[in-house]
Amino acid sequence: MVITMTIAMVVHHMIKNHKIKVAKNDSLLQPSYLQQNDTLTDKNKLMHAPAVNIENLFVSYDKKDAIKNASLTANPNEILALVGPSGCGKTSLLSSINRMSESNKNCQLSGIIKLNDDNVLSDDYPVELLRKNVGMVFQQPNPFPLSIRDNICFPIKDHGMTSAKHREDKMREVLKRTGLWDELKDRLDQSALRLSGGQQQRLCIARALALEPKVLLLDEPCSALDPISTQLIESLLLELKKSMTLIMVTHNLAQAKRIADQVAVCWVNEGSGYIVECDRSEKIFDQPQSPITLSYCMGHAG
Amino acid sequence: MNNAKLTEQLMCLILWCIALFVVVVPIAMLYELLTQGLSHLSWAFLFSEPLNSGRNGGIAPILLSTALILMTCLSVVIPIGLSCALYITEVCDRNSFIGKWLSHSLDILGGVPSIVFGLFGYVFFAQILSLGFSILTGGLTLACMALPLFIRLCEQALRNSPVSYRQAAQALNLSHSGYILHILLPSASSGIAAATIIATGRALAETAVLIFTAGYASRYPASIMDSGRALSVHIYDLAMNVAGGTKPAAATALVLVTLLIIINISARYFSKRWLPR
Repeated sequence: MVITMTIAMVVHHMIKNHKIKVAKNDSLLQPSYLQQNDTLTDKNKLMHAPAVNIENLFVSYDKKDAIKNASLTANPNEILALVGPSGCGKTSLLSSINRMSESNKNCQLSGIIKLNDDNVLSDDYPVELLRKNVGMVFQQPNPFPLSIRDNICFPIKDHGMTSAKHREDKMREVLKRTGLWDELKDRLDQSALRLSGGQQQRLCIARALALEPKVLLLDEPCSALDPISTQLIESLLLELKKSMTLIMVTHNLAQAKRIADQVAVCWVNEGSGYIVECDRSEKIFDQPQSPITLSYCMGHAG
Repeated sequence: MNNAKLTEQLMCLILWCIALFVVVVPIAMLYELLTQGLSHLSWAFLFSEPLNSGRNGGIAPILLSTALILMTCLSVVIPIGLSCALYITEVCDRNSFIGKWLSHSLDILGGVPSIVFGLFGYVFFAQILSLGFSILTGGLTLACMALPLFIRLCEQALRNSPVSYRQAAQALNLSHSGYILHILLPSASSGIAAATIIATGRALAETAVLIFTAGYASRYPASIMDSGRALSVHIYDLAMNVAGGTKPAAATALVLVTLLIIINISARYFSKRWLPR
């Protein structure tokens, strides 16, 4: 009796293990609903770069307006640069687009931010989906205190990419895209904190790209970097805009002039930020409509 | 010389005297311990049983009991304390009712005299849960005493983890559990290690709690359900109840102080590694 049960258990165990092995080793044998997990695709996830439309956006902290009535449009496959002096709400505006500002409990958002036709500020737009569609890169490079490999593989694993091989492929793809592969392929297991600032920032961009966003928000991505790293990142951004919509905050007017297709000038009035004008880059720099833009671009103000 | 300068020099002198006093007192204590105890200290003392109420022989069973009490204590303190610290930092809002209430009660518990914990442990673990005078009772009571300190230190370590990691995790929409397990806890690990060591040091130095709960028996403990004598209790007993016990008491105290110094140095080492990144 006992022997029969033991044998039954062992056989059962073997079958179970075998199944797991099959599933792990050969993804082709998986049923389609399991494979879906492995491609980060969501049926609502954007497939192409969307237009980002901001209409009448108000951002306030503790009932004090940080941004008043901002409206602008970022076109698909273009770079929109937000420029302006410190404290004019550029970062608040940027972090409203992926609702990062919501994590501050005193922050209130009102208005409309549309990705194509969906208002991402409405309550029924899931934050998870929004952050899959919209990636973000911060001013200070902030890689996780993990190995270079895990900095990219851990987030996609957390997002449900179960196959280690798929993760490895994805990592190689984004490292190649950001130009890091040749520099780092021999030391993928080193801590990411040992990289240079420029490499760390490109790793952060690669980490964001691994989740396949169609909009990338960049908050002064080069302000902590040297000119050579800055140049590398600028050419990377020009490459990236072929497949996504980029919105970047920058303090560096020359940088905006070099890479932006569109520029929005932000200014402060009585403590709250607003948008002076938003137009094609060459128009902003050559024939600005507002005297504020003119003096800011000439270096007289700000 | 004007008045302000004179006052300044006087203040300086007073502060210098206070500082000297603070340094001299522990050195005097250590000197006393060394003169009394060093002659009694030997390998045989560390590895043999006490004889004649501790006047002769060594402290081996006491070291064993102390280690068992500490292990019991830590195996309760680390999981409960770490979960509690995670709850305070990650789940509940600092300014909510529960958050404020938790933080107040931790502060009050941290300030409760250890003898009160001893009485509580005696009534609750020894009598109500009928665990008797045992290493288990002693360890659990010590755990109650060390928890507030441990939770506070862990909370500090967790809060010291850079905000930029959390921001990155949010922007990447990582799961909360993934963030805690793979980013937060590893980045706070040296702080948590330091917290563990400091809590161990606190528990090691404790006497009052253990007299009521772990008991006096100076033989080798058979299991954690057996009564066992901790180092600090042994010192207390030798010094107060045994005529001619001063020398072995001093030798035992030397062992205890050495252990505490080692623990403190390692805590310092870990927290140094953890503070500046």
